Amino acid sequence: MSPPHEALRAHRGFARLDAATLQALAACLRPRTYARGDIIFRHGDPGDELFVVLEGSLSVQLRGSDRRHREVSTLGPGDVVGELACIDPAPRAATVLARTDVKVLALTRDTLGALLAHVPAAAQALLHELLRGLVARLDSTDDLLLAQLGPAAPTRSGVVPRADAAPIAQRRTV
Amino acid sequence: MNLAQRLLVGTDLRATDPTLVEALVACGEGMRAGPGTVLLTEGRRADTCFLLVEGGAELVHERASGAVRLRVVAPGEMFGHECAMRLVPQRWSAWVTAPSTLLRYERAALEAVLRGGGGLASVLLGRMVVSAARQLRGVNLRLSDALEVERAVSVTPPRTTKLEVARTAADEARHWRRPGR
Repeated sequence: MSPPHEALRAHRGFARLDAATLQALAACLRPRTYARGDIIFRHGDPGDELFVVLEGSLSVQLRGSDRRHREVSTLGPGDVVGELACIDPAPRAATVLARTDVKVLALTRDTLGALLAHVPAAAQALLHELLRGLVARLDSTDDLLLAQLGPAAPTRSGVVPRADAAPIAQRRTV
Repeated sequence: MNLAQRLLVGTDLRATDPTLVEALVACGEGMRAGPGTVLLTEGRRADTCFLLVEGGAELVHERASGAVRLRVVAPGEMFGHECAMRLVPQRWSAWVTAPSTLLRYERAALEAVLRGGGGLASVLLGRMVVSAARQLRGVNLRLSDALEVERAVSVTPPRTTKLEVARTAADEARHWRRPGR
Protein backbone atom coordinates (compact mmCIF):
# COMPACT_ATOMS: atom_id res chain seq x y z
CA MET A 1 0.00 0.00 0.00
CA SER A 2 1.32 3.49 -0.77
CA PRO A 3 2.03 5.67 2.28
CA PRO A 4 -1.13 7.29 3.71
CA HIS A 5 -0.05 10.81 2.78
CA GLU A 6 0.44 9.75 -0.86
CA ALA A 7 -2.97 8.13 -0.89
CA LEU A 8 -4.52 11.26 0.59
CA ARG A 9 -2.83 13.53 -1.93
CA ALA A 10 -4.69 11.68 -4.67
CA HIS A 11 -7.98 12.60 -2.98
CA ARG A 12 -9.38 15.83 -4.41
CA GLY A 13 -10.35 17.20 -1.01
CA PHE A 14 -6.83 16.99 0.34
CA ALA A 15 -4.83 17.75 -2.79
CA ARG A 16 -4.51 21.45 -1.91
CA LEU A 17 -3.01 20.82 1.54
CA ASP A 18 0.67 21.58 1.95
CA ALA A 19 3.05 18.70 2.59
CA ALA A 20 3.40 19.28 6.35
CA THR A 21 -0.38 19.43 6.91
CA LEU A 22 -0.90 16.36 4.77
CA GLN A 23 1.73 14.48 6.75
CA ALA A 24 0.05 15.52 10.02
CA LEU A 25 -3.31 14.28 8.76
CA ALA A 26 -1.81 11.06 7.44
CA ALA A 27 -0.10 10.43 10.78
CA CYS A 28 -3.53 10.31 12.44
CA LEU A 29 -4.93 7.76 10.01
CA ARG A 30 -4.31 4.07 10.58
CA PRO A 31 -3.99 1.83 7.50
CA ARG A 32 -6.05 -1.35 7.67
CA THR A 33 -6.68 -4.19 5.28
CA TYR A 34 -9.68 -6.47 5.09
CA ALA A 35 -10.16 -9.65 3.08
CA ARG A 36 -13.19 -10.24 0.90
CA GLY A 37 -16.15 -11.10 3.14
CA ASP A 38 -14.73 -9.48 6.28
CA ILE A 39 -17.15 -7.36 8.27
CA ILE A 40 -15.87 -3.83 8.91
CA PHE A 41 -18.64 -3.12 11.42
CA ARG A 42 -22.12 -4.39 12.20
CA HIS A 43 -25.40 -2.56 12.63
CA GLY A 44 -25.90 -1.73 16.31
CA ASP A 45 -22.22 -1.99 17.24
CA PRO A 46 -20.77 0.87 19.25
CA GLY A 47 -18.30 2.71 17.07
CA ASP A 48 -16.13 5.78 16.96
CA GLU A 49 -14.08 5.28 13.80
CA LEU A 50 -14.54 6.47 10.26
CA PHE A 51 -12.88 4.86 7.27
CA VAL A 52 -11.52 6.39 4.08
CA VAL A 53 -11.57 3.75 1.33
CA LEU A 54 -8.28 3.52 -0.56
CA GLU A 55 -8.73 0.36 -2.59
CA GLY A 56 -11.43 -2.22 -3.15
CA SER A 57 -15.17 -2.22 -2.71
CA LEU A 58 -17.42 -2.20 0.36
CA SER A 59 -21.03 -3.29 0.67
CA VAL A 60 -23.38 -1.32 2.91
CA GLN A 61 -26.28 -3.43 4.12
CA LEU A 62 -29.47 -2.85 6.05
CA ARG A 63 -31.27 -5.46 8.08
CA GLY A 64 -34.93 -5.74 7.20
CA SER A 65 -37.83 -6.60 9.47
CA ASP A 66 -37.39 -10.16 8.22
CA ARG A 67 -33.89 -10.03 9.78
CA ARG A 68 -32.29 -10.51 6.36
CA HIS A 69 -29.63 -8.09 5.17
CA ARG A 70 -29.89 -6.33 1.85
CA GLU A 71 -27.31 -4.26 0.09
CA VAL A 72 -28.31 -0.63 -0.27
CA SER A 73 -25.06 0.81 -1.50
CA THR A 74 -21.54 0.05 -2.57
CA LEU A 75 -18.52 2.20 -1.79
CA GLY A 76 -15.16 2.53 -3.52
CA PRO A 77 -11.90 4.46 -3.41
CA GLY A 78 -12.27 8.00 -2.07
CA ASP A 79 -15.53 7.26 -0.24
CA VAL A 80 -15.82 7.69 3.52
CA VAL A 81 -17.90 5.36 5.67
CA GLY A 82 -18.68 5.22 9.38
CA GLU A 83 -18.55 8.97 9.86
CA LEU A 84 -21.98 9.28 11.52
CA ALA A 85 -20.86 7.33 14.60
CA CYS A 86 -17.48 9.07 14.56
CA ILE A 87 -18.99 12.56 14.51
CA ASP A 88 -22.02 12.07 16.69
CA PRO A 89 -21.88 9.15 19.14
CA ALA A 90 -24.54 6.51 18.45
CA PRO A 91 -24.57 2.82 17.51
CA ARG A 92 -23.64 1.88 13.94
CA ALA A 93 -26.54 2.42 11.60
CA ALA A 94 -25.70 -0.25 9.05
CA THR A 95 -23.51 -3.27 8.45
CA VAL A 96 -20.51 -2.76 6.18
CA LEU A 97 -18.51 -5.64 4.73
CA ALA A 98 -15.74 -6.07 2.20
CA ARG A 99 -16.93 -7.11 -1.27
CA THR A 100 -13.31 -7.50 -2.36
CA ASP A 101 -9.99 -7.26 -0.60
CA VAL A 102 -10.04 -3.73 0.81
CA LYS A 103 -7.55 -1.14 2.04
CA VAL A 104 -8.78 1.72 4.20
CA LEU A 105 -7.50 4.47 6.47
CA ALA A 106 -9.19 4.61 9.88
CA LEU A 107 -9.63 7.65 12.12
CA THR A 108 -11.07 7.65 15.65
CA ARG A 109 -13.24 10.35 17.25
CA ASP A 110 -10.53 11.16 19.81
CA THR A 111 -7.93 11.54 17.08
CA LEU A 112 -10.23 13.87 15.16
CA GLY A 113 -10.56 15.97 18.32
CA ALA A 114 -6.79 16.08 18.77
CA LEU A 115 -6.35 16.99 15.12
CA LEU A 116 -8.79 19.89 15.55
CA ALA A 117 -6.82 21.15 18.53
CA HIS A 118 -3.32 20.79 17.13
CA VAL A 119 -3.52 20.83 13.31
CA PRO A 120 -6.68 22.79 12.52
CA ALA A 121 -5.91 23.13 8.81
CA ALA A 122 -5.80 19.34 8.41
CA ALA A 123 -8.90 18.86 10.56
CA GLN A 124 -10.79 21.52 8.62
CA ALA A 125 -9.90 19.87 5.30
CA LEU A 126 -11.19 16.59 6.67
CA LEU A 127 -14.39 18.19 8.04
CA HIS A 128 -14.94 19.87 4.68
CA GLU A 129 -14.71 16.50 2.95
CA LEU A 130 -17.05 14.92 5.49
CA LEU A 131 -19.52 17.75 4.99
CA ARG A 132 -19.37 17.39 1.21
CA GLY A 133 -20.14 13.68 1.54
CA LEU A 134 -22.93 14.19 4.07
CA VAL A 135 -24.62 16.86 1.95
CA ALA A 136 -24.54 14.55 -1.08
CA ARG A 137 -26.01 11.74 1.00
CA LEU A 138 -28.72 14.00 2.41
CA ASP A 139 -29.68 15.00 -1.13
CA SER A 140 -29.81 11.45 -2.40
CA THR A 141 -31.63 10.17 0.69
CA ASP A 142 -34.21 12.97 0.41
CA ASP A 143 -34.73 11.96 -3.24
CA LEU A 144 -35.04 8.32 -2.32
CA LEU A 145 -37.57 9.09 0.41
CA LEU A 146 -39.66 11.20 -1.98
CA ALA A 147 -39.51 8.48 -4.65
CA GLN A 148 -40.52 5.88 -2.10
CA LEU A 149 -43.47 7.93 -0.87
CA GLY A 150 -44.69 8.36 -4.44
CA PRO A 151 -46.53 11.28 -5.99
CA ALA A 152 -49.78 10.72 -4.06
CA ALA A 153 -48.63 8.71 -1.12
CA PRO A 154 -51.11 8.15 1.72
CA THR A 155 -50.30 9.94 4.95
CA ARG A 156 -47.82 8.00 7.04
CA SER A 157 -44.67 8.86 8.85
CA GLY A 158 -42.74 11.49 6.95
CA VAL A 159 -45.84 13.14 5.55
CA VAL A 160 -47.14 16.17 7.36
CA PRO A 161 -50.87 15.84 8.16
CA ARG A 162 -52.98 18.00 5.87
CA ALA A 163 -54.16 20.18 8.75
CA ASP A 164 -50.56 21.15 9.39
CA ALA A 165 -49.63 21.49 5.77
CA ALA A 166 -50.92 24.80 4.54
CA PRO A 167 -49.45 25.67 1.14
CA ILE A 168 -46.26 27.59 1.53
CA ALA A 169 -47.82 30.55 -0.23
CA GLN A 170 -50.24 30.93 2.69
CA ARG A 171 -47.45 31.00 5.23
CA ARG A 172 -45.63 34.00 6.46
CA THR A 173 -42.25 34.62 4.98
CA VAL A 174 -39.28 36.51 6.30
CA MET B 1 -29.50 35.62 28.51
CA ASN B 2 -27.91 36.67 25.25
CA LEU B 3 -27.78 34.36 22.22
CA ALA B 4 -24.32 33.00 23.01
CA GLN B 5 -25.39 32.11 26.53
CA ARG B 6 -28.54 30.43 25.23
CA LEU B 7 -26.46 28.31 22.85
CA LEU B 8 -24.04 27.43 25.63
CA VAL B 9 -26.84 26.45 28.03
CA GLY B 10 -29.45 24.93 25.75
CA THR B 11 -27.51 23.07 23.07
CA ASP B 12 -24.57 20.71 22.67
CA LEU B 13 -22.34 23.73 22.10
CA ARG B 14 -21.95 23.79 25.89
CA ALA B 15 -18.54 22.11 25.57
CA THR B 16 -17.30 24.74 23.13
CA ASP B 17 -15.02 27.62 24.05
CA PRO B 18 -17.47 30.44 25.02
CA THR B 19 -15.41 33.06 23.17
CA LEU B 20 -15.79 31.05 19.95
CA VAL B 21 -19.54 30.73 20.50
CA GLU B 22 -19.71 34.50 20.97
CA ALA B 23 -17.77 34.93 17.71
CA LEU B 24 -20.17 32.54 15.99
CA VAL B 25 -23.09 34.65 17.17
CA ALA B 26 -21.36 37.88 16.17
CA CYS B 27 -21.03 36.89 12.51
CA GLY B 28 -24.74 36.06 12.24
CA GLU B 29 -27.93 38.06 12.64
CA GLY B 30 -30.23 37.18 15.53
CA MET B 31 -33.96 36.87 14.83
CA ARG B 32 -37.19 35.50 16.30
CA ALA B 33 -39.84 33.70 14.28
CA GLY B 34 -43.25 32.23 15.06
CA PRO B 35 -44.78 28.94 13.91
CA GLY B 36 -45.50 28.92 10.19
CA THR B 37 -42.81 31.40 9.28
CA VAL B 38 -41.10 30.33 6.06
CA LEU B 39 -37.36 30.86 6.28
CA LEU B 40 -36.21 29.27 3.02
CA THR B 41 -38.26 28.57 -0.09
CA GLU B 42 -37.74 25.64 -2.43
CA GLY B 43 -36.50 26.72 -5.86
CA ARG B 44 -35.17 30.08 -4.71
CA ARG B 45 -31.49 30.95 -4.74
CA ALA B 46 -29.74 29.29 -1.79
CA ASP B 47 -27.63 31.99 -0.20
CA THR B 48 -28.73 32.01 3.44
CA CYS B 49 -28.53 29.53 6.26
CA PHE B 50 -29.71 29.41 9.87
CA LEU B 51 -28.58 28.15 13.24
CA LEU B 52 -31.56 27.27 15.44
CA VAL B 53 -30.93 28.60 18.96
CA GLU B 54 -34.30 27.74 20.51
CA GLY B 55 -37.59 26.37 19.20
CA GLY B 56 -38.16 24.07 16.23
CA ALA B 57 -38.06 23.99 12.45
CA GLU B 58 -38.54 21.48 9.67
CA LEU B 59 -37.47 21.12 6.08
CA VAL B 60 -40.23 20.10 3.70
CA HIS B 61 -40.93 19.33 0.07
CA GLU B 62 -44.22 20.67 -1.24
CA ARG B 63 -46.32 18.44 -3.46
CA ALA B 64 -49.95 18.30 -4.48
CA SER B 65 -50.83 15.75 -1.81
CA GLY B 66 -49.33 17.84 1.00
CA ALA B 67 -45.98 18.81 2.37
CA VAL B 68 -43.55 15.96 2.88
CA ARG B 69 -41.42 16.48 5.94
CA LEU B 70 -37.85 15.63 5.06
CA ARG B 71 -35.95 16.68 8.14
CA VAL B 72 -36.64 18.00 11.63
CA VAL B 73 -34.19 20.57 12.99
CA ALA B 74 -33.34 20.67 16.70
CA PRO B 75 -31.81 23.54 18.71
CA GLY B 76 -28.09 23.82 18.07
CA GLU B 77 -28.41 22.54 14.49
CA MET B 78 -27.86 24.47 11.29
CA PHE B 79 -29.84 24.18 8.08
CA GLY B 80 -29.33 25.63 4.64
CA HIS B 81 -25.58 25.52 5.10
CA GLU B 82 -25.25 23.60 1.84
CA CYS B 83 -25.18 27.08 0.30
CA ALA B 84 -21.57 27.39 1.46
CA MET B 85 -20.64 24.43 -0.74
CA ARG B 86 -22.58 24.85 -3.97
CA LEU B 87 -24.55 27.29 -6.05
CA VAL B 88 -27.85 25.57 -6.74
CA PRO B 89 -31.46 26.51 -6.01
CA GLN B 90 -32.85 25.59 -2.61
CA ARG B 91 -33.89 21.93 -2.69
CA TRP B 92 -36.57 22.25 0.02
CA SER B 93 -38.47 24.82 2.02
CA ALA B 94 -37.81 25.47 5.70
CA TRP B 95 -40.39 26.69 8.15
CA VAL B 96 -40.65 27.25 11.84
CA THR B 97 -42.80 24.88 13.92
CA ALA B 98 -42.57 26.56 17.36
CA PRO B 99 -41.69 30.01 18.66
CA SER B 100 -38.03 30.14 17.77
CA THR B 101 -34.85 32.14 18.08
CA LEU B 102 -32.39 31.79 15.22
CA LEU B 103 -29.14 33.10 13.87
CA ARG B 104 -29.17 33.94 10.19
CA TYR B 105 -25.99 33.77 8.11
CA GLU B 106 -25.44 35.06 4.61
CA ARG B 107 -23.37 32.92 2.27
CA ALA B 108 -20.67 35.60 2.10
CA ALA B 109 -20.31 35.63 5.89
CA LEU B 110 -19.99 31.84 5.99
CA GLU B 111 -17.35 31.86 3.30
CA ALA B 112 -15.40 34.61 5.08
CA VAL B 113 -15.34 32.60 8.32
CA LEU B 114 -14.27 29.42 6.55
CA ARG B 115 -11.55 31.24 4.59
CA GLY B 116 -10.27 32.78 7.80
CA GLY B 117 -9.41 29.40 9.31
CA GLY B 118 -8.64 29.19 13.02
CA GLY B 119 -10.91 28.18 15.86
CA LEU B 120 -14.04 29.88 14.55
CA ALA B 121 -13.82 28.06 11.21
CA SER B 122 -13.40 24.76 13.07
CA VAL B 123 -16.46 25.47 15.23
CA LEU B 124 -18.56 26.47 12.23
CA LEU B 125 -17.47 23.49 10.14
CA GLY B 126 -18.01 21.17 13.10
CA ARG B 127 -21.50 22.57 13.59
CA MET B 128 -22.32 22.05 9.92
CA VAL B 129 -21.01 18.47 9.95
CA VAL B 130 -22.83 17.51 13.16
CA SER B 131 -26.05 19.09 11.88
CA ALA B 132 -25.81 17.23 8.57
CA ALA B 133 -25.04 13.95 10.36
CA ARG B 134 -28.02 14.27 12.71
CA GLN B 135 -30.37 15.29 9.92
CA LEU B 136 -29.13 12.37 7.83
CA ARG B 137 -29.91 10.01 10.70
CA GLY B 138 -33.40 11.49 10.92
CA VAL B 139 -34.18 11.24 7.23
CA ASN B 140 -32.72 7.73 7.18
CA LEU B 141 -35.18 6.70 9.85
CA ARG B 142 -38.04 8.08 7.78
CA LEU B 143 -36.70 6.24 4.77
CA SER B 144 -36.30 3.03 6.74
CA ASP B 145 -39.91 3.36 7.83
CA ALA B 146 -41.01 4.02 4.27
CA LEU B 147 -39.05 1.02 3.06
CA GLU B 148 -40.53 -1.04 5.89
CA VAL B 149 -37.07 -1.84 7.08
CA GLU B 150 -36.43 -2.17 10.78
CA ARG B 151 -36.88 1.28 12.31
CA ALA B 152 -33.56 1.56 14.04
CA VAL B 153 -31.63 0.90 10.87
CA SER B 154 -30.03 3.80 9.05
CA VAL B 155 -29.02 4.13 5.46
CA THR B 156 -25.88 5.08 3.66
CA PRO B 157 -25.28 6.56 0.27
CA PRO B 158 -28.12 5.12 -1.73
CA ARG B 159 -26.62 5.80 -5.14
CA THR B 160 -26.89 2.24 -6.39
CA THR B 161 -30.44 1.72 -5.23
CA LYS B 162 -32.23 4.87 -6.29
CA LEU B 163 -33.43 3.47 -9.60
CA GLU B 164 -34.26 0.13 -8.04
CA VAL B 165 -36.36 1.68 -5.30
CA ALA B 166 -38.08 4.07 -7.69
CA ARG B 167 -38.98 1.08 -9.84
CA THR B 168 -40.26 -0.80 -6.81
CA ALA B 169 -42.43 2.14 -5.81
CA ALA B 170 -43.85 2.35 -9.33
CA ASP B 171 -44.54 -1.39 -9.37
CA GLU B 172 -46.27 -1.14 -6.04
CA ALA B 173 -48.43 1.74 -7.26
CA ARG B 174 -49.43 -0.30 -10.34
CA HIS B 175 -50.23 -3.27 -8.10
CA TRP B 176 -52.60 -1.23 -5.97
CA ARG B 177 -54.30 0.31 -9.02
CA ARG B 178 -55.36 -3.13 -10.29
CA PRO B 179 -59.13 -3.63 -10.59
CA GLY B 180 -60.58 -5.38 -7.58
CA ARG B 181 -57.98 -3.94 -5.22
